[in-house]
Amino acid sequence: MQVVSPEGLPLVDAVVVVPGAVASTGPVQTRVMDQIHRAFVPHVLTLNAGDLVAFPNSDNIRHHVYSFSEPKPFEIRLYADTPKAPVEFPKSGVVVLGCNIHDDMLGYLFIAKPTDLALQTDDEGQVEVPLIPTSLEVWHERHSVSASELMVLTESEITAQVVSQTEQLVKIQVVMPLAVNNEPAPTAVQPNRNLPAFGNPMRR
Amino acid sequence: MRLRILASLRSQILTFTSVLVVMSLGAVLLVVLLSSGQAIRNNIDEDMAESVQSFREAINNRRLQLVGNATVLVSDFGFKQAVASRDSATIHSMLANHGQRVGADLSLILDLNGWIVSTTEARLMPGMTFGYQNMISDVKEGNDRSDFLVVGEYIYHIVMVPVRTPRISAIAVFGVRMTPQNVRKLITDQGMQITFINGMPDQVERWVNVSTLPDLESILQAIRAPENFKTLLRMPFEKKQRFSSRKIDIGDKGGTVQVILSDDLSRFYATYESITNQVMALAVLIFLVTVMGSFAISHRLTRPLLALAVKSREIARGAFPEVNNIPSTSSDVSLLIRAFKRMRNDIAEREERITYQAHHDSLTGLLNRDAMITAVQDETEFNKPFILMGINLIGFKTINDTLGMEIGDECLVTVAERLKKLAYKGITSRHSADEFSVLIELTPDCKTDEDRRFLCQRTLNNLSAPMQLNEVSLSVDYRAGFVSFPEQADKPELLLRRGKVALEHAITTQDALYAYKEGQDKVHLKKIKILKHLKETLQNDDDQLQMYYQPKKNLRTGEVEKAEALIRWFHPTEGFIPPDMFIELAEQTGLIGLVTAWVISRVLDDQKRLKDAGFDLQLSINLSAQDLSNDNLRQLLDQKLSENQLNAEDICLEVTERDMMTDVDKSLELLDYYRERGFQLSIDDYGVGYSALSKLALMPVHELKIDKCFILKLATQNDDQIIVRSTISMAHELGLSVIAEGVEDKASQAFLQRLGCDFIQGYYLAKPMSLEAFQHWLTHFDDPNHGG
Repeated sequence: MQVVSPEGLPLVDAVVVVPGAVASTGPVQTRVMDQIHRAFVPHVLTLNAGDLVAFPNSDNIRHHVYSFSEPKPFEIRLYADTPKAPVEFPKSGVVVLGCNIHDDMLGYLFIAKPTDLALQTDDEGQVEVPLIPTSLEVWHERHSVSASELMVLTESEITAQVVSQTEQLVKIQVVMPLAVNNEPAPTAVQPNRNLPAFGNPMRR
Repeated sequence: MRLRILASLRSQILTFTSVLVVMSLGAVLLVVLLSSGQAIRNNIDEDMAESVQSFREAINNRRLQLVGNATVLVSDFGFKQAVASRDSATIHSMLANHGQRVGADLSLILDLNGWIVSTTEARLMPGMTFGYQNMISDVKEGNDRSDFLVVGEYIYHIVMVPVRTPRISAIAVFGVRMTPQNVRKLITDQGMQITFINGMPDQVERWVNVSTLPDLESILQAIRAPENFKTLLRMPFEKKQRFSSRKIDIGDKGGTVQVILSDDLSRFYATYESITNQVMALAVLIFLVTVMGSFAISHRLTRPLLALAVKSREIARGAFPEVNNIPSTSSDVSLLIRAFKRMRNDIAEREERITYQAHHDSLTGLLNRDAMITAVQDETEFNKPFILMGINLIGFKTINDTLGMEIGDECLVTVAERLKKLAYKGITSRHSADEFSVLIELTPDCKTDEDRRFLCQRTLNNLSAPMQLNEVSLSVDYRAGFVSFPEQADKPELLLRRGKVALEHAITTQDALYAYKEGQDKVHLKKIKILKHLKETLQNDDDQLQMYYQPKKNLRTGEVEKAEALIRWFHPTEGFIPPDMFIELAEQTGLIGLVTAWVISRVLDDQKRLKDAGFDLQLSINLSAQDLSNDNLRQLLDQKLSENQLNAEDICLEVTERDMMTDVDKSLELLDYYRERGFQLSIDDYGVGYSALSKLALMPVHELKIDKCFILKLATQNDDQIIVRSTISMAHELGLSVIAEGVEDKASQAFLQRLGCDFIQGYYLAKPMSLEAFQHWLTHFDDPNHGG
């Protein structure tokens, strides 16, 4: 299954959720959202509700990781190395991570319900789904302005997206509408270009 | 006239120099204005460029500062937290607090759709849209935007920055309100005005503006002003260009606010005006100096000219003032003065000459008539008695004819020179070719007419001394008449006229010296009047003149065979005018030809009538010497003869002995002609003409008429009897018939008959009669009781 933008470009780090695909819940895990070279690594981390996330700082500068997202607003004030404790994310949803010092640092935690199967697309925007789902939810950071909305596909909609089908493999391509452009990294304010002077338009 | 021309010369100089100065200064002023205008233009360009540059920098700095402040603000964790909280009260208090930190007059939080989330501006409510969507969409993508925007009633320098929580979830808007004070800070050049304006050009009342200019009127002027200065040259009614403006494009094109930089030109005008004033002051100064200078020069030029004009008027009046003391102000003027002096001298000399010529006879240098009158006038004023004598040179014409004009002239000059010496005070004049007059001093001892006559005679004697001219010795004879002042005339004209009358009398009477007699002038005047009447009556042929006929009786036959035609003049007012009087006058004035022509016509017509009436008579006509040589009369005679079918024998021509003998040769020739032609010829008035008998014998005449002076008293005068007898005898010897006129008594007739006289004529026979009377008389002549 491939997730693409309306322009047909593969969407990396999209999350495909197959609701109710997991029968039994696994143990609580501690996941790592590292900060390397002023970036969250990985950019998108998928975890299950109730998991813990550690935010080690691999840079030699301090970061102030925070989130105002609804599932779990938190902040880890200026720190270096590994904070004292990992943060628990008990509720499902999307948590947008930022660094209060470095505005260009953005990261996402996709907290799936324990019963849902959440898979992340690779560099080709592809993901292997073990079964043909009856419904699907797809998320991508650019899909909504709030970055918290999911695209929900019904079975018929999924069927409509089938590209090719063999006995072993059904290829599905999901086109995902995007609400946010590729956000460029914030840059320093550029001096206003000096336009050449022109005549007074009110002059007769 | 002269003065006006000179004045205009002065004004011409003044006008010329004034116009020159005004023009050149005008040109200088124009150049100053043009170059000042160019300088101002350049200045404005530089000023404007600098101002625009510095303005841009100032705006950019403000923008950088605002953006920096805003960015810092939105980076604040608390700010982010507040925005993320979505709690409006929290956000509002945070905005108010943080906005103050950055010195913002306006703070807003917008959501990414441009809706107001929170605001510090009371007039903006949450939920309203902020507008400026193009800026918002730029900011949504993470850019900062700043521009001058209108919010409410004010213009703000607005900066918009994205709020990251951590994704861009809102837009923070901060604005600094533009006030004239902080606008002023944007530019260092105090002469430069900045105007922020928002609105349509035609909706001034709805404009929102912020300006360093004091009022809307100035703002309007400023924004309508051209980008540069046009010119300093303008018409008086044109307004001064107050501003030069340039519109600056400066924001992120978010709004419609225009920024206009205006250069206030008044400071340039100040410079220019001080230059203009200096030039004008200089112009006035130069103008005054020029006017005064040219006035002085023209005055120096015209002063001598005016003086010369005054002098020339004096010269025109006949005065010849000295031409000194005229200021010679330049070489040209002194040249003119020298020329003027020469002219004055020349004119004076010429006038002297002309005056002399006007008053003097050119040949002799004596006075002319007019000058003589003046001189005599002057002399009469002394009231001293003197004599004016008129002198005529007898035979001067002969001198001229025989010795030549040169001798004649010399003769006149000599006479004149003598007269000058003899004249009292040299007052003597020449009136015509040979007529002079001279003033003779009357000494107190001269009392009687004889004394006067003696004085005149002495003068004449001195004058008539023989003169030697070109080896010709010449003695000139004179006739002279004189008049005495004041007894006989007291006015110069009268003196001259009466002198002339006396002289004419002397000439006609062959008197060498004649003294004017009282009343002679009147006779002279009467003669002139008679002459005038004679001319008139000849012209009009108005029956004033009549022909009378006096019969002549043949003593042998006792028959009337001839008659003499005699002219008679009956003037309506003057009465009977004796023929002696007017015939003589007519001869003297050359009028005789006309008179004789009239006589010939009338007599020949009458002869025809007589013949027609059956009378066969020979009629005689009196001819003067002048008439004899008059070709017109000869033609007239021929014409009238043939017209009336008469023969020449029917007419006898009577010529006086005197006329005949004056120029014998000529008379011979003329008489021969008439004799050949067949006319009878008769010598009239024989015996008083002093003629030489030898000459008489030559005359080709038929008849001799003895003058009546010998006949009238013939009966008693023995002398007359002797003369008459011998005359008759001589005439008969010469083959001439003899007639006696003036026979008034029977004794005379008897005596004449005894002597063998052929014809008689006279009152004894009959008076002269009109044609009708004559015819009547002839009819009854045979009647023994009648007349004879």
